[in-house]
Amino acid sequence: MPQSDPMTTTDSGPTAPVELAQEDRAESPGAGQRLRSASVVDFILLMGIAVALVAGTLAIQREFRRPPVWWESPDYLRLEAASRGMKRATFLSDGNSSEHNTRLHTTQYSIIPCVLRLTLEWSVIFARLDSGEFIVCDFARPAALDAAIEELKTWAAKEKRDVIAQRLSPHIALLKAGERP
Amino acid sequence: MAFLIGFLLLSLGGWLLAATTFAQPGALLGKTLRSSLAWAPGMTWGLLSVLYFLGLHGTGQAPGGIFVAGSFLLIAGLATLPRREFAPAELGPRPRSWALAARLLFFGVLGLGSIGFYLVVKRQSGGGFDAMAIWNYAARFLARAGLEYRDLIPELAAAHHMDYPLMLPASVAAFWDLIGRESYQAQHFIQWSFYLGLGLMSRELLRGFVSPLRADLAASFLFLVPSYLIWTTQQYADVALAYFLLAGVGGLSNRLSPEARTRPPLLLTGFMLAAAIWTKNEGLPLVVMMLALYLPIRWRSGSALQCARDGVRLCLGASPVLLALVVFKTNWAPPNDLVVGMEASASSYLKDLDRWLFVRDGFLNEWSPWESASFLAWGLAWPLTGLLFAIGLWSRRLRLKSHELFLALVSLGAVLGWFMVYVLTPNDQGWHIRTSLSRLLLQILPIIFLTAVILSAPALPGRPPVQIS
Repeated sequence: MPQSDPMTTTDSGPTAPVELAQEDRAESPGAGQRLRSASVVDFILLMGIAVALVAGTLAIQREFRRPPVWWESPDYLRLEAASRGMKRATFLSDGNSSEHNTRLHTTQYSIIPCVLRLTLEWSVIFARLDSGEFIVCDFARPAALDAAIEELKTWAAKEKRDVIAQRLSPHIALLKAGERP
Repeated sequence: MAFLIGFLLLSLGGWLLAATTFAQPGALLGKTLRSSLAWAPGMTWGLLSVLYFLGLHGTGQAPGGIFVAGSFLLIAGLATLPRREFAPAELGPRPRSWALAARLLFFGVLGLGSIGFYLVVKRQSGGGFDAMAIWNYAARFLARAGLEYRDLIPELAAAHHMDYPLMLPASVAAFWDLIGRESYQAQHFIQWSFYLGLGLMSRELLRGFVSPLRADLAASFLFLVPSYLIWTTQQYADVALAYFLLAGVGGLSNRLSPEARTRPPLLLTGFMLAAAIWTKNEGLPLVVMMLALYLPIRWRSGSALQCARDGVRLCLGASPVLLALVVFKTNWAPPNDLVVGMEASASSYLKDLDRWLFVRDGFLNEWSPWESASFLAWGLAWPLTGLLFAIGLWSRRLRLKSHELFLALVSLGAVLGWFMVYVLTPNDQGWHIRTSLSRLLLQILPIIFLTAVILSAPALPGRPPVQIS
């Protein structure tokens, strides 16, 4: 005797559910045809499981063969090394959300990736634009921005580069490091 | 430590569900556990994120772990108060050997998937681009800047999609609060629970309509689709959204079927549907479409009173999540860039035949088993789902019962809806399809697969079917 389903008692449904065991169904009229169609469907599902296992194994292998993702590539690691003096500086803005469609494609893979990686490690945010400018921000604690700017200046002095620092807002500064002489 | 707290949170969610919903007198212990486990990830992370966000918005600072855990316990305690007696634990009937083998297969693939998950996240703990640019990023800002985050949103780049809702970021931030540090383990645990939850939920819902053996096989198949593992570790939100959508559509379709052997309460279904919108913006059109299909079919197969009562229950269940969503959308989020862009260009794009053909090719590339990228992403999930769909429609001679009609229309509407998104997209079509189509299809595959399996199952006796032709 099937037991009543617990869920039916919490909300009154249109009618009581029927507990119909598979073997009960097999004994009803047309059971032979249904069983044949059932076995075809089960075979399809088993085939799908086997293929999915193969595809899944290959997909995981591919993940392992894939070279480091862009924000772990040597270029960005070099950038990270260059900003080593700013250990608390990351994040990046593409700088122009209104031109999202055109700029995003060109900047997404050249600028944001390095920042994304660094953002997650450090709390202050730093980015380098293609133009050579840096954007530094600390949204959570603006006071840290000053320290980040100072660190960038220290780095630039060590690298013998000129630095232009301009506060764009309480949270954001635009910096430019000149070319190496 | 993080995993211990994660398990504790999930157990709380499961306990809340068991106590309020599934552990009724006469319930089988196995069924109660099965149902509670399947619905626990959605309840736990959905509720936790809502509590965290509303606490942050209301008090002006990030609520500490004590507040979150305390609120959670308080709600759980209040919810269990009316139920003074728990159901007696009983053992269910012994399954037959094939059914037992299928059950072992299902739990085996859950274990296999978990190993795969561990291997992938161990190699790349931060996830892929969207996980970094959107979800991890928003979680950091929520956890660090608190309410100030709201004022900073206009300054942040469009690439960070600050209009995306906060189910995942707020869950992660709350988790960090509880463990006292920012650790990827929080993201990993939450993602893993949604990944397993998708398998458990599909099995749970299928058992309402098909034999346990079929449900185990079908759920194993769906869970093994490689894209679920890859995107769970790489992108985060789409698998969670797929889980919530599946839970919502499953709850609604069970309600439409008098023969269904499981009947999740509409309050819970409403919560899951709202949580889908709270997870990602894409949830909104899909949930609206589901309700727009469900209510008329319910009216037709039942009565206007039943339809109205269902609507009220769904709204009640959805209300806490909708409250958080409305607060976020009206006080925090910028306008959705995709929708804003669409409004400007929709009419001209609709008349551009090349755009339609381009999108068609994009869909066919995803579904084709001959494309190696498609094979690695989907196995044969799409062709076999199509085959099951065809078998189901052919065997039923297009005569569908209410719940089958609902599921079939939702499946069709979801595919057509996503097709139109790419026709109307203001972004570069090639880039947009390349970077997101597979994830959008991932969100709706469980619904379509569930429909195909239910349609292809032997018809249960019951009400006369609806003729669609």
